[in-house]
Amino acid sequence: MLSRGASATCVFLSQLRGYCTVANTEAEKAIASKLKEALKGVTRVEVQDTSGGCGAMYRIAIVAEDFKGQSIVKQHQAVHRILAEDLKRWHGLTLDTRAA
Amino acid sequence: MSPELKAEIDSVIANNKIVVFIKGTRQFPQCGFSNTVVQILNVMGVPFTDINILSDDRLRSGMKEYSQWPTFPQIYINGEFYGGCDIMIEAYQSGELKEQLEIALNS
Repeated sequence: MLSRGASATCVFLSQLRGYCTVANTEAEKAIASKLKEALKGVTRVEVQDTSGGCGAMYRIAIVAEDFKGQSIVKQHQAVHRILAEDLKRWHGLTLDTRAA
Repeated sequence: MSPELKAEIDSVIANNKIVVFIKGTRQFPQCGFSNTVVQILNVMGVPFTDINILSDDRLRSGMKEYSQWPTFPQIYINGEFYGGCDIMIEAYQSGELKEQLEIALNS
């Protein structure tokens, strides 16, 4: 489990390595893994439970090469497809996607 | 989605420049995300049509398929799916929304 210090280090290292995952709880890490496996060239993924730990709402930010040339709607729809099963159980989702 | 319902939705989207499918109504939104979209459009001062997807379960599940979008609110501008709340917030903050709405309403 990443501590606050470790995430700060990760952000710093990301500037060196150009790659970073920010996900602390088991649920957040599982979501981050799903996204990294399904999308090509993921250089950054952040998953945050915004429902106070209830697993009902998430904020997800992704920077991936797979998003190149896609409109924001198409980028979001790609993420929806990957997380389709999870989405059925969630109340809401805030997405921030960007091409690498 | 039944063909009749689909035809109705096609018609609403084709005949109204700005249509939002929300939880609740513009006077009484029943969800934070839906409320945000309503308030942004109110601030922009543009005419829009609101459809309460909580009023009918077939509408609620049908629109997810129709728009290929799993959540609400769902926004349509000039007959095209525009996105959800996040997309509108970002466009509003960047000034892009103002432009997009002007173009839509003048076309």
